[in-house]
Amino acid sequence: MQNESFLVTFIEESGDNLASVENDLVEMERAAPEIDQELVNRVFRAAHSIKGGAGFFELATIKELSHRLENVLELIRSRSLAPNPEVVNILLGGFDRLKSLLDDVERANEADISDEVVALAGLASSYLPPARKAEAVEMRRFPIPGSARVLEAGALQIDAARDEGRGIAMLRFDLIHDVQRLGRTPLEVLGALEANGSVLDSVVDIAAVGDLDSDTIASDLPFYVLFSTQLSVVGISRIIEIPTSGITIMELPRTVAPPGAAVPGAAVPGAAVPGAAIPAPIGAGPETTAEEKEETGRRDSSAAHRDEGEGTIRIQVAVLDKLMNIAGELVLARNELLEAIDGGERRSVLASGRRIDVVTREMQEAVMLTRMQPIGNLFNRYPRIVRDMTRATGKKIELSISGREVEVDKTILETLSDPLTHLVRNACDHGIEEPGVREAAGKSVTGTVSLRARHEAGTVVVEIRDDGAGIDVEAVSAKAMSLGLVTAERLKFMSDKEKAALILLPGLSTARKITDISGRGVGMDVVKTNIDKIGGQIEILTERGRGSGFRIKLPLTLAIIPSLLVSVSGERYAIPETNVEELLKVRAGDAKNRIERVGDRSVLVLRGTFIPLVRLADALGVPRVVEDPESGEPKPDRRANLADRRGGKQAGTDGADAAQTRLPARSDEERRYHAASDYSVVVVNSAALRYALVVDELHDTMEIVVKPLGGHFSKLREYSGATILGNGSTALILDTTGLAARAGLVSGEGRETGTEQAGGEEAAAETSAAGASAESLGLLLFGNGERERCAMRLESVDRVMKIARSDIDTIGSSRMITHDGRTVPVFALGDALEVSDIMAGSGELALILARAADRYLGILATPPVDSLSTEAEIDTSSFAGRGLQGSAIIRGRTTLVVDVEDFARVVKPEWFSAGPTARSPEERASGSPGPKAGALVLVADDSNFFRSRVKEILAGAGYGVLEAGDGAEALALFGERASALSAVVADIEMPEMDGFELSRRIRASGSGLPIIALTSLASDEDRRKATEAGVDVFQVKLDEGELLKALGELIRNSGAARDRRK
Amino acid sequence: MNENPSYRPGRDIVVATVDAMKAELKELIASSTGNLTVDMSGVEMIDSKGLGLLIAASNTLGASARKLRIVGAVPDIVELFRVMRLDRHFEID
Repeated sequence: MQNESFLVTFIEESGDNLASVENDLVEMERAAPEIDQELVNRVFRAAHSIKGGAGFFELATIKELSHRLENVLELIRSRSLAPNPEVVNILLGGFDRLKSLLDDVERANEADISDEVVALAGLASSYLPPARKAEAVEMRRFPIPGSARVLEAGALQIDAARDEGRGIAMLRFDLIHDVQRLGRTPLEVLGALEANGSVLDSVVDIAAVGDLDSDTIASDLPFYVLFSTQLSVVGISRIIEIPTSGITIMELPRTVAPPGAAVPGAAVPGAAVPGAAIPAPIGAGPETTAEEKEETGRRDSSAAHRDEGEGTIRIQVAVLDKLMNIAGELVLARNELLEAIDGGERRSVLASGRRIDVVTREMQEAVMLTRMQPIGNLFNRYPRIVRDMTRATGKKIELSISGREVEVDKTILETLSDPLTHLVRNACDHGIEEPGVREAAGKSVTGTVSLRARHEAGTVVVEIRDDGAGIDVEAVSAKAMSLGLVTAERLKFMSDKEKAALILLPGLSTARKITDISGRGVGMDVVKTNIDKIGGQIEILTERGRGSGFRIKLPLTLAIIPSLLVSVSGERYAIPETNVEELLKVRAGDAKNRIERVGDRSVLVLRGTFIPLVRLADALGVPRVVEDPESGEPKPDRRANLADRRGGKQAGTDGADAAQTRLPARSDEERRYHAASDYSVVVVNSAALRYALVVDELHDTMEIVVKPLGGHFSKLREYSGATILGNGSTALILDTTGLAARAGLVSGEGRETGTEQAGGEEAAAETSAAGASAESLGLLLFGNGERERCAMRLESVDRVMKIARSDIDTIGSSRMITHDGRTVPVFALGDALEVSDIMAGSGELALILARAADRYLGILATPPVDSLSTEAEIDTSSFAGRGLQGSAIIRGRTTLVVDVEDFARVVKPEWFSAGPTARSPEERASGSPGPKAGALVLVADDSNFFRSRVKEILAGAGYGVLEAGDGAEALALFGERASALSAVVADIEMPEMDGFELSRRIRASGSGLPIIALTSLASDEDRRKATEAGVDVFQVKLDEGELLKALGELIRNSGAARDRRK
Repeated sequence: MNENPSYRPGRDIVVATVDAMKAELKELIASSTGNLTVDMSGVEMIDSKGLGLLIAASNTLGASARKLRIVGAVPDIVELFRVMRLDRHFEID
């Protein structure tokens, strides 16, 4: 009965409604005891319209909560309750909860909101409203044309609608003809209305229905609705599918007309509907006063501001006008061009070509403008965050915001939101010092965090600064080194700025104590990843004792970017200009002074600093081609690396002297430094560092249109997209950050340490292999006691806290801790795994708050707790058992990888007994407790997505899962573990060995193991082939219930068959 | 004569079921006096025809100054009645 798309609309609209609530509440608190009615009304309306919608979608919890919020706001509005910090806190908490409920409406009804409800009810009951004023004071009446009936709405409601830019529409339609006949129900229609506005009044023409003695039940059921909405006539007609002739936009009388604004009798634009007279509202109902009669003559037309609802964007009329003008220009230019071509006069063709160039550029700019949104939309979220942070930390912090009006592409704005939130939190939590510390340092007690946005040379610069202690560069370096993220050698050549930039690496958090506010040890790398994703740059500014800042440079838009074209081995590549710092030519004769070796790398000496130097061809793994200086023919260049010491020669030192040698096959190195082959170098920046790329040739810069790369290439981090050049050929766009990782310059992008070497076939081979199988994995690293290293997947971690032993309460054999007013059970790994007892020692303890089966559990750990992103493979055979995913070699040490969900299954089996995770309908039907622990299923699929999805499904039903990325791998695993396996679930289309072949081989080995083929191929031919190959069940991807059912049956039957054989 | 009768459709009141229900209601109303209680438990969906049926029943009852009472309706149906202002015609518990 619920309509999915209405629900989506409702959720979106609720999100919009909630967007300004935080700031309004914070503002209310600031303004107290003054009450800004408009502010309160806005918040009230947000709660109110959510309540209305929630009612229709059976979202009882959301409805209840918004109702309670509404009650408290009503008290504030009536000045019965002052918005003091206490009250605002409770309201903010309530709205937060409302937001999270809306984020997950599926489970909203199961959520426990008693905390919020009790708090809100407490507020409401302690301030019982004074005898309710005769509040239904004035009603406006809207007679229904052709009927004696009248629709009514409170003047207050109408004023509110008008102030919000909403209009009032009268809808006349027939529930039988316009609704029933279209297969819709009244509930759906009203749901759609409530989702797009609010129903102020409605009336059903009862008399038209007749009674039970009529021949047919309700052949007509006329229905009239007074509806307040931002939608236009067409918009309304679209959402509820009624003819536009049944919709009339009402003109609104104002209670108090603004001077000069009202023109008597002015019609609302767009409101005139042919054939439908506009009924004038009667202000002279029995309840109205003489005063009002005067005002009803005045009209207000502010309701003209309307939106057509979903999938639309608001465009300034001026922008549209401009587009129209440009379109006109374009037509003229085209005519001119056609004429010029006809005339065959080259000069006029060129002239019109130029004209079209100009017009096209203007058009491009104008179209881009339509996607722009003020960054203030984003900035406005932060006053609330800073307020909360000040309350949580006890610090005094002021937020200053400037540049709200700077406009940025919508997509960029969305991507920027998380990073900026993180940075603001960090600034408050780690940047600004405690008041006492500030005072001692002679600073003002109140710290300042500032957010600024401005345009700068075709980019948008967003700066977040604080006047706190600054980043402890040495601590960052030391930490990075201790984690193996950077070598001491490389640190030597790093500027302070580059050292500070190390905090962007995954796994590095220098917060001295992990607080539950912002120090989860994850985050800065997410900031970097998000900013990289939109082609932005992040620069870190820090001054010890004076403060720190982050300067984020963003492209204005993502679709078209100015780029530098370079070429290597005859292929062209584009480097976004924002990443290009400078271009230089290193003369062959200069090379020995400009290029040096440090460790095993080449570096470029640039104005006294060292910059890592990478040959682009090597970094990309393309064969280098050089022109034979004599014949001009391209020949392969065999030197593997710019800094290759092959033949015992020092790169960059011997080269220039041997410039005249002409034996390319043997002495490439010399030819490198031939006078004709100066180095063309592009100095680029990436998230973590600056480096230099050696290319064959530098070309123009041009504006390129970015085309996304196909899914097959999504793992290639060195490219961010592709573009089509003027001559029709394609060029790949380089991602300087991904390229740096590829070249082994930084450890980012999944590589755990920077050990990968640039260039060479090995590197190329390695990457293609890695690209095919390994996937970057976010892990939380921790200790169990002094010696055992453990890890768990970051997804399962909610937060990490430092705790004292005395924080843990013990009742019987169970441990627990109180967190956020909740009791959370606490476990040691030793409770389920064969590891040492963490409680035995006396060292420090950390508590990892993890989630399993939608509940929290605490897992005790020994600090340091850290996070990293790794491609290390998880070995599921060396250490296997309940609660373990396996082991991995991380930072050179064997680390146990805990499977939180499974761990919880062992320590808290009751959480899983009847919950939503016992998913198989099969199991539920038979009442059996699920498959035996240890029923191991081999899952073979080359798609990571499907493989992990299948794994999730199987693991959720209690199976153990062995994963294989293709048929060959699966067969190998089968060979090793055949006896332990209970079934195989295999994809058909796989590289190396397909599912048919896998099945044939398994059968050929004489095994009767159940095999399920799970595929997107579904032709009869495929089915036949699968059966021939020995597949037991053939299913089309991916029906969870079917899969579990088939698997359960097959395993039971094969078990029974085995038993019989015995 | 049955006084204050009650009626429990027990299934959705939609176009497919209204004709049968109409006959039952008609008979029940004719053979009773006092207000009619419609027990909506078990009704998950009501369409326009269904609304028409309830209104027609209410109209029939109204002719002899009797009322239609609704009990046990799920929240969204109650909400539907409320938004449609049918609570002015039916008594809703």
